[in-house]
Amino acid sequence: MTDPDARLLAYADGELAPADAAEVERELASQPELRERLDEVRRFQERLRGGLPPVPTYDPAQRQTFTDRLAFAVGAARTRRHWRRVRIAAAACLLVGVSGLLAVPAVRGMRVVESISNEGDHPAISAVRLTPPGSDGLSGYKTSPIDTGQSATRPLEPQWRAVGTGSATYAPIEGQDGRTNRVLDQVVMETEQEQAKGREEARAHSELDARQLMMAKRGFAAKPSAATLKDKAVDERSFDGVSNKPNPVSQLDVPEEYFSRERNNELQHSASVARSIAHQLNLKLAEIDDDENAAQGPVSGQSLQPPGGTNGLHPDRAKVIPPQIPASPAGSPVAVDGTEIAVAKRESDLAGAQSQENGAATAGGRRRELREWRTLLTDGEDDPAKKEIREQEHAALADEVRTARQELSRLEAFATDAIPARADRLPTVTNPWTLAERDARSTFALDTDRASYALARRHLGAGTLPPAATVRVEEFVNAFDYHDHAPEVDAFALRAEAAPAPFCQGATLLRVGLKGRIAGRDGRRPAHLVLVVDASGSMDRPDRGAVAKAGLLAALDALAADDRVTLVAFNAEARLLAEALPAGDPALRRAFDAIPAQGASNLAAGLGLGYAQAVRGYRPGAVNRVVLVSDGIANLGETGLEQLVAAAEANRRQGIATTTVGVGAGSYDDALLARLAKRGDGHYLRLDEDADSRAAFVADLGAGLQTIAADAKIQVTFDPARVRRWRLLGYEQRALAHQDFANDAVDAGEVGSGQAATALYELELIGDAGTDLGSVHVRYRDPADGAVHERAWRLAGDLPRSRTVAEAPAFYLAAAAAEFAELLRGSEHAADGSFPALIAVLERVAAVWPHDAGVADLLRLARAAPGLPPAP
Amino acid sequence: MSGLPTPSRNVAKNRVVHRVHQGVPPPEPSDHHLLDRFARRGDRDAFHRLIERHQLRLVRLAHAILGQDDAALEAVDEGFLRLAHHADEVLANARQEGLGGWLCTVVRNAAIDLVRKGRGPVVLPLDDRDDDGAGVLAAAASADTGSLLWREVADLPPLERAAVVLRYRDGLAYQEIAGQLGKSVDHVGVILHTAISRLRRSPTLRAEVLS
Repeated sequence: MTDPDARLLAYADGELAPADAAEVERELASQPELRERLDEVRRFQERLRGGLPPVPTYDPAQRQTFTDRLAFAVGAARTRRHWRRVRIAAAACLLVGVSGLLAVPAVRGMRVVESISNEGDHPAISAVRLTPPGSDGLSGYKTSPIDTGQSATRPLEPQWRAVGTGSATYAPIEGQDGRTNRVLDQVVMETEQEQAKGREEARAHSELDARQLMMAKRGFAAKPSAATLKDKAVDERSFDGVSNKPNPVSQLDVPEEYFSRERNNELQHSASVARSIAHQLNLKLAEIDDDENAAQGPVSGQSLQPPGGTNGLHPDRAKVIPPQIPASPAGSPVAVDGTEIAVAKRESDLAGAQSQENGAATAGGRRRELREWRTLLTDGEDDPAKKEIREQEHAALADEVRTARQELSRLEAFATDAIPARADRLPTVTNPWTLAERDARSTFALDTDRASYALARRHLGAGTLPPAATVRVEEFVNAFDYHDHAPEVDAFALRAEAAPAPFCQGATLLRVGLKGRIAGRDGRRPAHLVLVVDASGSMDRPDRGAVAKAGLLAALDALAADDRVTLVAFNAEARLLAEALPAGDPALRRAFDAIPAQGASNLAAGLGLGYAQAVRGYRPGAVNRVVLVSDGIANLGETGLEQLVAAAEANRRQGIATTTVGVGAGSYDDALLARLAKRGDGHYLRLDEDADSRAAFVADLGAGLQTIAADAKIQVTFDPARVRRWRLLGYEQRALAHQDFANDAVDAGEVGSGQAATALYELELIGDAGTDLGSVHVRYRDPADGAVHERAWRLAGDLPRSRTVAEAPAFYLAAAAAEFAELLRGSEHAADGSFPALIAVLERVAAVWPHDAGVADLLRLARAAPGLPPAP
Repeated sequence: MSGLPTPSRNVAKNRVVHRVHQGVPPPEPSDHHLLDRFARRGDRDAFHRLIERHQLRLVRLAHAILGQDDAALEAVDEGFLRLAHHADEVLANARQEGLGGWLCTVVRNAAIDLVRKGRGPVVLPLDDRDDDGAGVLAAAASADTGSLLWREVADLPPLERAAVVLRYRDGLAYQEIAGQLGKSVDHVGVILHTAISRLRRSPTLRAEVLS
């Protein structure tokens, strides 16, 4: 320490060696200014000692979170110890097996893929997977269990990981070249810890707290292999380059790996270019309209403006300055197929037009044009030649307006297409197999929506596969009627069936079907529905705007006389078109005709106005609901998913539920609509072009208005003595913590009158038929009196037995629906050979239920699906 | 140790010895011993005792680096979770610096990571009309944000802030600070000196302290 001040500080701290301290004291004695400096330093030190914030303490919630995560870590450590012993046992068996066994009938033609990896979190084998020869090991078939050597016929989903226990008996395989060999290749394994992490990720996704997700990832020390604990404790990080200013990049809500930032930039750029062009076209249109109206006013009564209101443009058109087209980033061309040239041409056209209009006297120019128009139109009224010219000009103008309008809506649609749908950004999670001795309970919120199946139906009808992220297994299963009996008095009746799984050899499939009570008309509560209809340019397509209107009008017919309907339409801004009118009022139907279909999409404004109207027209004791009819694409105003969902939740607490109706496909935000409905205690419905879809929509909307069970949760408990492993098919986004089952404050699903929910479990059974499989508990709140009810049913031990299709068509139909969904989820990887098995089963079900339209539909889709290209 | 009975003469010698030792509390098991019990047998009590031993020191360190309560607790949680996860490897390899040192390093690294992600101290802006909701909420979570002194200290680079807080709030010696921050003792002196000089140069702080 050469700096005298530094030495002074150390002296003041009492940290100097005695010799140095003595020297300083000598200096102090001789130099008074040094004493002053020391005094100053001492005063700063005193101030610091008194004025720094205290050490934080844990509050109970933080302590609980920490304890939970510690429990996982401890469990993982225990797993590793356990596996060490199993590995030794496995090695012993291996020696025995290699020296003894020769024939492997069940696995002939298959390749054993296994490896022992010591890296980080994969300490031991937990399963063996058989893949067909020639595959890359990532697709194929899975086994269950590993010690019997049986092969299964399930295709592999991309997110699937094998989990299992038991000793591994390896045997030499007769290879295709005649040699006996054992192939060591890569393998995908998952320990219980990753399973738990997967569950936590699924839960975190359903809350969409990306920060929680990051912490869940980090909480398990994601990269232990980087921490070589041999030389240093952990890889050392230094304080170099660390500043207090937050790095804006690191504060993205969604982790980077979920979408490529470069591609997103490109798309955002093309979207913003398209938007600005659309805006300029809008302005040009407005001017043409203006001039037209001004010029034609006294001459002809025909106006090109649509009746009943403005066409949604900004009222202050004359003062709006068109935005500059943003420069393309870093030389990369905008990757737009086909429309690039058109866009470029439009750009140059508009640039030319813009430069003309951007003259100093813009207003003067327009007045001049106006005068010219007037002269042209009024001058020479008697002159037939000039009249003809006038009419030709009129026709040309009308043409130009029409083409400009078409161009505008096309560009609007393009602008929304360019933003990648949120559904593709979030990864999909699949429930893994769970050991009953580790976790014997399965808890989730009941869900009766079937929008995912309707969306898939629409995609398949159009000739592509649906996006994998929008395929939810439980919604496919719930889309069919299993003809279970509805209860008379209770809210739910349970029907359980179990049989060997048709599509997973070695497993038993359990169908737990819950059917809700059909509410009578006498207990019906009146409703106040606020319809928030998307009127933006993206809805201008034939499968969206017109379909929505037709569906809503059909739904209006199904409402009762004391129901009230408010109509809100939104594009760039939201407009109230009808307030609290009875369903049969003709003014309401006229209001529907006034819904435009152009402009940007300001979903937040529409929802905001809708909620405000719902609060205004709130009727206590009635069903107050906001029904959003949209394709989910929002490109103006608040577009953050969490903010919109938070608004839905805030309104739910006030008693205003949110139901979403999705229309369209392609540029379509499934995740937003699903989440809004889930958090808003409503239903997520789909509306497509065909009559069946409209009928189903009307029925679902009506049933949803009469809730027979609110906050309905289900908990299935398995007996580990009977069930060794279980897997829930679907409901990943509805998962609940086990302790939340009894917690009545936790928001769960709503079940409408006559609706049913089915849960499918794949089980691996052990033990004998004397022991029960487990029990099912359902807990819900009765919306009439707010009382909480809990019912329990037991799953008898003799439930699983072999059933034919004729005996249990519902069972096989459910299994087929789930299988179809799982194939579609992993459809890029699944071999086509699994579809024939599905079709065979479906044909047998259709033979037993020949008049069931749903079964016929599913069969048609299953026949059409193989070989289709994936979603664009 | 009070109230020891006087040994009576007809009692055997070893019995006296036994009674003398009865009043002495058994020695505390070492860190290594506790961690071993946790790793081998999954003894959670042992792990909880480890946590109790080291937690306060680690929380102080994390809070000194981060200046934010929530983030500090997260960093400490990370340290213990890593320990629970890698108990075996830590036992085998971290002998020379001991468990305490290993934990300090992990928590320090976690805290540095959090600072890099922007979770450092948040101070209320002076202008109360600034209605940034997120900033106000976050600032309300950390203590003593209004004080002029903390405003200045929070502005220091993380290393200097950590050294200042460890020295003047927690009263650690240079040697200890050096161990916790992973620097040498001389370096700690330099860091503290730089920090204090910076603080001394702030006119508002000078006015407050020297008035």
